[in-house]
Amino acid sequence: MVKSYKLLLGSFVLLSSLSQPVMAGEEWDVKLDVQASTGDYSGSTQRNDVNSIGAFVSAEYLDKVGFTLGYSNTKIDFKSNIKDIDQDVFYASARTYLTPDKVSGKFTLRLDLYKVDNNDATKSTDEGRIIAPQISFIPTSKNWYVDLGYTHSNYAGSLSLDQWTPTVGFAFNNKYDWLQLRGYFIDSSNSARTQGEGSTQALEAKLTHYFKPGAALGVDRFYATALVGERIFAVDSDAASVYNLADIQKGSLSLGAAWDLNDSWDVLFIAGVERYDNQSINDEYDNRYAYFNISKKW
Amino acid sequence: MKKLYCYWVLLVLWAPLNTVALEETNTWGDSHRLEAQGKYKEAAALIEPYLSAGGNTAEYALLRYGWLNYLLRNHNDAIRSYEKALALNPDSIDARLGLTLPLLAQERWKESARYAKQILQRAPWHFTAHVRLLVSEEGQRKWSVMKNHASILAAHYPASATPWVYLARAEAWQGDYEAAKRAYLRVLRRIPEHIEANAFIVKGRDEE
Repeated sequence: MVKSYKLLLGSFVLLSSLSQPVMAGEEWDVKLDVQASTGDYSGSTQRNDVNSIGAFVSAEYLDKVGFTLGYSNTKIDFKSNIKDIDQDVFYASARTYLTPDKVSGKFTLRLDLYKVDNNDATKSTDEGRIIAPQISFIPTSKNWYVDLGYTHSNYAGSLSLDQWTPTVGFAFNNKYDWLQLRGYFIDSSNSARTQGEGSTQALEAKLTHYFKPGAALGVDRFYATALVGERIFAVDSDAASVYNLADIQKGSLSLGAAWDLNDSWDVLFIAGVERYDNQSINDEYDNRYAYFNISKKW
Repeated sequence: MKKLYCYWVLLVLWAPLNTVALEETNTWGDSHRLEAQGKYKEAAALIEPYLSAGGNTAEYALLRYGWLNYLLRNHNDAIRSYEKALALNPDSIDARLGLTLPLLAQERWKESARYAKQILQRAPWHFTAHVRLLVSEEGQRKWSVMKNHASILAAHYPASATPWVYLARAEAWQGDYEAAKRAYLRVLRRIPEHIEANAFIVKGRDEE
């Protein structure tokens, strides 16, 4: 964990030292996210807990293009003689925005790249190389949203996965609520590596409630997310997260709250539970986790 | 006799030039008339021949073409036209002001803000540029920036309701209901029938 805490400390030092709006010019908006999560594998015969830490830097040039670079380190603590996993994920994303006159709204063309490396002795989750293009559209009214994402993942040995994520979102309750539904359709090239499953399907529903100013505890946004169905080696484009666990995820539930401390700083806290199943050894378990993100904009 | 001949030659040469000038004047006039009738496409088509004329004629044609395309909601054409006008005259405040409109319509807040700020570098208290910048700040949800900006603008334009509207919105978004109410009351002093201000005050009374 030493490396992780050094990263966390370094990120906060960086955040503090850049408290003056001198870093970004008029044309660039820069944002730094520092995040940490901890999870407890409840009921697992093999796993104890998971801890992760990461940082993302995003830069937007006017309303034209944006780039994000990210790094996260995850440590999974196993029971008995199984070697703990120490994983690094490098993330790069680029996007551009289009505003054609034919439709009143904004298209976003986005391309994400992930590089996953770890010390997994089985090699089943190591050497992840992931490419994920996405196209999305949101109208000027901001009443609805649609995107289509495709993800191609390659892992060590002979495992590749194709993931399609059609997504719709819509506003209701006078835009104080937003519901996003995302389907996960994942095909595996090697079912022997994916718990005997050639394909998995899941549906994720994410509700965001925007509070009026002055809400209890000063909360600005509330999140509730639920996932039903099954998915394996999924990639979450919203969170820029790779679920390269070799076990099947069988649903999840999370609740979160966000605070906009001012125009520049905001924090997000999420607590949730994810259900997993290792069908090979009949090991069903939960990951009960907490996630924290602090964000600074310039 | 020789002098008379010279006058005659000048008259012959001048007449077609005068006709061309008259035709051009009519074209601009017709374009404005068509715009007043809401026929923006026809108004734009009339001035298309002048877009590549060069010099002042092209600059004005490009500005007007940008404006008519903005009215037609051809925002990308409007932006291109204003950008060409700005390239012809880098000092142009009109081109920059023009650019802010289609950019705001496309919710390209930062790009619009950039042009508004460029105007304010040249004309620090240009009211319209300040208002367009306030719109950009609102679009970017920069409430504290918008609040400070609106306060300063209200001090420089005490008779105008507009800065108070933006100040009230910023206060409301930041959760300071009393400050928002005070700002909206100032709006109502200037425009008693202001819909947004009245709605806020009435809603506040109902909640009390």
